[in-house]
Amino acid sequence: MKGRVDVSAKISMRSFLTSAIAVVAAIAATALSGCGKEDAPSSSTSLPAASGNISANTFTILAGSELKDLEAAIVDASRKAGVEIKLSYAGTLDIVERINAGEKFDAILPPNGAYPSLALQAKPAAREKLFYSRIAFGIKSAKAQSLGWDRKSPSWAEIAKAAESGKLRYGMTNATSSNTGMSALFAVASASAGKSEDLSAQDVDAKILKAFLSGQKLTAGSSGWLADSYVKEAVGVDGMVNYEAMILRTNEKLSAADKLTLIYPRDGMISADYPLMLLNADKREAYQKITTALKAESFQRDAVSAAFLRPANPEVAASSALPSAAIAELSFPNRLEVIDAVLASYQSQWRKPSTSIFVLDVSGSMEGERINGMRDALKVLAGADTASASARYAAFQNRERVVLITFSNKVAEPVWVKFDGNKIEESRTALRTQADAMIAKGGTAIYDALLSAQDVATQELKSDPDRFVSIVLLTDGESNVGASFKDFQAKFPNGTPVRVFPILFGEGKVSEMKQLAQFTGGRDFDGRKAKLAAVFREIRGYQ
Amino acid sequence: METRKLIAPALAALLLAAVAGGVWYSNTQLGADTATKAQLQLDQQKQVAVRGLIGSEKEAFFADPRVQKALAAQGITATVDKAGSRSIANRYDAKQYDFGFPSGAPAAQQLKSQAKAANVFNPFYTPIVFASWRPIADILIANNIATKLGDVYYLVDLPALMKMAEQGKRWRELKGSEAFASGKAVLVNSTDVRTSNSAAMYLAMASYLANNQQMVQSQEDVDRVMPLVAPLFLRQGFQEQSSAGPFEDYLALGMGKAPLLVVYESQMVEFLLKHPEKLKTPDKQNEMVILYPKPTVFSKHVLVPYTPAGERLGAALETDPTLRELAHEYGFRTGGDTKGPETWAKRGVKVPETLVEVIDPPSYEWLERMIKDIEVRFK
Repeated sequence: MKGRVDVSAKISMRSFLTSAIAVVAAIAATALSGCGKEDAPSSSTSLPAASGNISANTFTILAGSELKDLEAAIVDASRKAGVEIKLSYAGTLDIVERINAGEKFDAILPPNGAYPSLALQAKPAAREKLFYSRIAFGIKSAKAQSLGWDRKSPSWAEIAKAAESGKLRYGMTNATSSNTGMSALFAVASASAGKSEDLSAQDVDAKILKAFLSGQKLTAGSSGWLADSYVKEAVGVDGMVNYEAMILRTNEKLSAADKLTLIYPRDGMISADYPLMLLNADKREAYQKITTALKAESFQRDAVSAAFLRPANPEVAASSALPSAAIAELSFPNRLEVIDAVLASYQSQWRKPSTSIFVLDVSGSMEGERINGMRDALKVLAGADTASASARYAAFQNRERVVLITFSNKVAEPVWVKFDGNKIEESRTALRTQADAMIAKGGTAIYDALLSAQDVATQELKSDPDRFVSIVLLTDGESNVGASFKDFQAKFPNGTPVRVFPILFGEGKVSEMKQLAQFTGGRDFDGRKAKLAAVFREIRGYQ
Repeated sequence: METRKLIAPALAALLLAAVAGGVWYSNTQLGADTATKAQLQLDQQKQVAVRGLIGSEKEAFFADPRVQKALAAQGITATVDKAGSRSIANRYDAKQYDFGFPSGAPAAQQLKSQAKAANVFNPFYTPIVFASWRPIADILIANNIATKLGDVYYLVDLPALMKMAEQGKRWRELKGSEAFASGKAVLVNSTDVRTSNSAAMYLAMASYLANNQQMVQSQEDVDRVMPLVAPLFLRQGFQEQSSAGPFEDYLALGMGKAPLLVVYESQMVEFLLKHPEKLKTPDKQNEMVILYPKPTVFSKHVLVPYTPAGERLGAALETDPTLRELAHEYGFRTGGDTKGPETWAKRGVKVPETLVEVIDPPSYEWLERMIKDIEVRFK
């Protein structure tokens, strides 16, 4: 068993998220100016349509990442209807952020239409729901029995109580990057407020929210990756919040002991309704062909129903594996300010706080634009830029801890910046000062730096086991001083205490960074292509 | 029937204007009458392609090959784009479209004045009803809010239901609510009133009740009524923009999503004609029922032509018996010898042939002011 489950490090939130985008965007801008030695394509991150060689006739769709499973069927059905489509993937908030930032897609296919409807700056020209999936709590059968939830569905308050008392440890995606996490958060918020509708920020019972979130042991930036992580690390957790469709598909990969029972909290849930939203009004004709093809009985039966999604075409029955009992549906808030307020509280008050360790390369190759970019980016993290579209989450939040570990030949002493209550402004100033003090010089001791970072992480988890701790590695070159990757691996025969999320850019060694991500249970992200802001935003959800 | 007496002065003035306009129109046109008739016949033989903007609930009708064939027999090829009715009223564009076909007289009234259309057509109409489920109807009966009138349909005491909504009652607090003991508020779900007609019609009904059973027709009325009526919409949380979305949700997610949903009778009838199995299910909670609020309003589907070609389509829909029969398939009531309910009853979907308490919606102006008031509160 991996000890990582309980400590699986997660840095903060959207605050951090968005600010970090800027960091990397700035860094990447400089990194890209260097010459890449490794050109093997590496990313598991989807590229924006604009960067590929896509013909003008291709209909481009930015879709929820869990739809990758359906890609072949969607592409095939559309092709038969005479439309070539190209799918790219992102989390719900990301989808909106990217469209608002000016990326061009002909349509989006988010899991839930509510948030995009409220937050998109340009309203869609048409929308059509393609299928549905309820969000459920998948809980191991034995656990469900011991809690009595197989006989009577629990309320959210009962779930929160079980989480608080340590009887329920679960996985859930990050509410500021993925729809399942966000929907569950709003479901608990509504239920705790005793309301099914018209939630306002003051209604929310923070105690229940905090209790509920104290049981979260596994986080992810997307529902699909969460399911994969559950398959790998099922031993340490009792279940996960996910789409019922995803849970049933995951069950097919699990041993009997790890299989999940679908639990729908009795005060209600929020369902995903997958609207295809047309953004490019000039492609209306192609859009109609696609929706007709995807709502046709054959597609709804052979692709939708077969994947345990609920068909939107009433002629097609839902899979018999899905319960047909009435599940109260809670409303999504209808005001952006309420969503913002709840997400902001989630970040700064309710969720388990995070410690984010930044391992930053200040070797000679970083000199000039690269180091300047890194400085500027850190300043953005410190709240220097409030004019950007994502400014409402741009600055570090209360309770967060940031650790900067710079390295060249040598690894500098970790610099701690704690964001606590009334001293947030001071902390931001401190971070800006740190950024200005960085000087690029010398070699690249990546693994010495990472060893130091893992030490910091271990101590942090020891003194504060309820924190999410993780490491981001930004380097533009190969390790040429100190410990090697092999030495690093040898130090951790049972896996590292926390995950490492390497970002590829500059002349970094792609294959090694990938292995590093895999070895630590993290993920690599490609910062060399496309829009780095979007790429990095995706990473943030995993921390 | 007191409602019938309550024609607002504003509406009366409008009617007068319309009549006067008609008189003027026929006088000036009279001389050219014979020539016009001959021209009309010639036109009829000519093929025309028309393009229009329609309310989403008529999309399937226009897509039906039988409808296309019947229109082709009249020399008409119709292409349609769909939009919310309020947005149709705000998107008059004679360059792009030959006609607008919103659901609801107030939107049509606005469109007519923009299009300066001499004639409008009223091919179909349908009452506003609540789509619901057998267990919900039973709970409403237990609480003296509903009466069962047929296998499929019930009459709902709307003032009593509105009172419950106002009191913030939850389903689990009602008598006999075991089958839906949910913390969900007793609220009627609707589409987004800012964009969609069915919600605007629900607003018309609710504002009428809040205004001591009188149509809203002054700013004082609006000011008095809105604090009572706006929460019916604001409390619903996120809402869909057109009627098709929530109805799909109702079908796909069932009672838990939508215990009570404002829909057109046509949507329910069309679906039940195709799915008689939903009238009687082994498991009661999946039985669909129609609740007729008392009072209700008719949603008149008014075709406003912008061009002569649009006018031809309007005339065809209004008078062609084949097209009328096809409209019945889609749950619309029509004029003519057969109006719809008789046909449906033969196929097991028995709904009332006539409705006793039908009120008129407020004029476009006052309805628009109420919607704008809600719009402001949403922000």
